[in-house]
Amino acid sequence: MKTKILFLAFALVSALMSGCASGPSFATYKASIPPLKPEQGRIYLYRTTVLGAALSPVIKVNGTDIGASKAQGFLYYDCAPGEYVIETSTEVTRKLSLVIAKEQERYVRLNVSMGFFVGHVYPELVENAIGAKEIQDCKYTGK
Amino acid sequence: MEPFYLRASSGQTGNMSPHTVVSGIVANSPAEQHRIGRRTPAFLAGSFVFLLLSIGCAFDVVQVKQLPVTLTATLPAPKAFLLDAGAKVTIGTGFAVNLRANTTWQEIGTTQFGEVYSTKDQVLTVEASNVYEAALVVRDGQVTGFYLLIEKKFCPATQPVALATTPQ
Repeated sequence: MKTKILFLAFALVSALMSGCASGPSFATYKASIPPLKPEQGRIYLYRTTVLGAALSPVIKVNGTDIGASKAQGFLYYDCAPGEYVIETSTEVTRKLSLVIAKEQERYVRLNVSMGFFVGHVYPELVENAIGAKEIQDCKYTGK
Repeated sequence: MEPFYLRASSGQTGNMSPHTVVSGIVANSPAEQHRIGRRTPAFLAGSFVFLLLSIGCAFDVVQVKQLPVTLTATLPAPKAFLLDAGAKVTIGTGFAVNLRANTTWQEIGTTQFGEVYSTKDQVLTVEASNVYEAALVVRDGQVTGFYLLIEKKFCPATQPVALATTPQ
């Protein structure tokens, strides 16, 4: 009986850990991020919480898959100035619409909330000062 | 389609008599048949409610009200103001929009609902099930709602909110 419980606990922890980001931290990876091109803007997307670690929905920007939202992970997306819709889907689709200007950096935090069957991951536009601070401990999960 | 039999208890295998089946559940004794027979309607009703709830949850629960609007881009000399005191604007979604004190707002256009202002001093979004970046719409010193920058729609405030401002 004990062996079964241990096995189940191990399987559960493994499943949860597999949803966590495992790349280099932002602080480490920052030097590898190319400088922003003058005619472009940049969106940082990050997820600080370990809540719902097993959830790693695809992040779409204007319908294009740019990677997965993993617990404690981050990625960035360089784009032309314009209007963008960021969406993540679990049992429901959550969207954020925002404007990106030339040479502008913006931070989008991916929050997790309770769902009916599974949690919801929803994007939230945050102040740059907050985003730049919160992203520091997140690990790179980009393609 | 083959009928589905679910055994209510152990101890009997093989062919099942049709009269022992109650809504797909097989009872082994008259007492058990009676017990299952009494519980099945409640079980079915519960399942039905559960199904309804789960279907309901699969959709967006709260939507931001969006009205058609025409934005006319500003003018050579746009107005600007400093917001002296913070303000809280509700839009009927359960998520209030907080306007921060000491932020400077610049006119970007006008609509039939008022003048439209944006700021670089705070992120301004309106939120329900989804989140929309927005600009502030002000008429006669009162917030009337928000202009959704991407959707090009107007989201009205639940009630106008007076602002304490200093012209810039």
